[in-house]
Amino acid sequence: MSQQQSTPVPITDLTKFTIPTLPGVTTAPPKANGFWSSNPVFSYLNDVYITISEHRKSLGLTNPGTIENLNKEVSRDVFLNQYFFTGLRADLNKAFSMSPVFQTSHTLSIGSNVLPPYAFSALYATDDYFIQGNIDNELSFSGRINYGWNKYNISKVTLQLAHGQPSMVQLEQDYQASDFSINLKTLNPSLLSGGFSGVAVASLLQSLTPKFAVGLEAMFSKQPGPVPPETLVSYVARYNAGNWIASAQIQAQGALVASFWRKVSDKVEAGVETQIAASLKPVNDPLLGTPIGFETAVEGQTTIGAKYEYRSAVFRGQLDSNGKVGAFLEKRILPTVSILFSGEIDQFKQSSRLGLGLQFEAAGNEQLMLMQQGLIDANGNPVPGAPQL
Amino acid sequence: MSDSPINKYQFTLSDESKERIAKVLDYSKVIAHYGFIPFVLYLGWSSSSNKPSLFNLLSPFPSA
Repeated sequence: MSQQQSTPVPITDLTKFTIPTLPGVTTAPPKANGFWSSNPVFSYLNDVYITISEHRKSLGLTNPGTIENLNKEVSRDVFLNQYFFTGLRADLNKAFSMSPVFQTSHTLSIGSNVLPPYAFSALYATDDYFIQGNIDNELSFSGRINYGWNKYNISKVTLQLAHGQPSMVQLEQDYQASDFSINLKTLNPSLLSGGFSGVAVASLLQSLTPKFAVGLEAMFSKQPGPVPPETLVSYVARYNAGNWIASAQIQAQGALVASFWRKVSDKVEAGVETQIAASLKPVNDPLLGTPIGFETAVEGQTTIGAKYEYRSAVFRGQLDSNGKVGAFLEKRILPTVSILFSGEIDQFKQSSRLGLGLQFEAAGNEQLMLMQQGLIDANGNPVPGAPQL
Repeated sequence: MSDSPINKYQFTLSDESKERIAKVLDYSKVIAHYGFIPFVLYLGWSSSSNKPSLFNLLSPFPSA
């Protein structure tokens, strides 16, 4: 392609030509009293639309985030759920380029029930695209493509393929407007078995005041075959007051999740989450042992946790009402090496779990290597105070 | 089955075309399974400044 002499502008693309704008030559703007705005129905509708949008603007609402991230600050940032691992692991990350971001990663692990012994992943991200692929030693593959059409619309595709297991594909569309968010997603959609089968989820989160947002999520799932479809609706609310955030969810299965997050100081965040789930439990006859009916059982769990951020280390600790105490420590011992420690003690069951990991950052070229060692900054200029090259 | 009122608005496919679609889906699954990571590596390789060799791309050790 590069051999070809390419014309700078295709002749058909007239918009690329700069046409001098002379007075009286430019096309006239649409008239204010044209047909579409002068007829009584449309002018009334236009007025209503303008009044509503001006009123909405005057409320000063902001985008409330997405339902997926409703209690992100507590369950993903402060709590250990995302970080906890057991056994030994080593992550070897190698960066090749910073803009666009391109890096590969090798993960080795022993003694874990969740992590595969070896996994390779590659990541490529530009301003619009985010593409990531991951494959492990059993050739289980997961891939993800996110594409941002503009700053309001993001499309996401997630794929999971493994030998001998049903494959999974998820299509997702995110629309984040000035004061509400809509998310549509579908899991394994198929039209082949007579109508729609799969899972479809639609959610809406709407800001009511600059700090308060409410929303709901509706799920529809249909298995192929003559099975009746299932629908579930959940309701959520979130209050974001800057340095504290409270959120609540009422899930369709009869569960209530409430969480509270607070920025205690610059470096310290704390969070608490309570889950109450009501379920139907079969009751057995005390003598015969045969089921005689159902009773509602209410189960609850509360977790409290904190996150401390130091200059080269992050510490997370949590305690829950089932007697589990957990801690996760991530410490950077060299600019390119960090160690991870995670531990959990179950006081009621008298058991414990432990994880130890190492993370190495390598570079694919010299400039990135100097950057990782803190000698130059992202623009290639020497960092003040760093040893001379 | 197709004359029942519920199925009136469902689009029906012949078994042959259903089989064909299933086959195409199977092939595209295999392509995604084994082609996705090489594709990401190619995208990254073509955008990086120093065009690392395949060995450098796959080895976890620093290559500068």
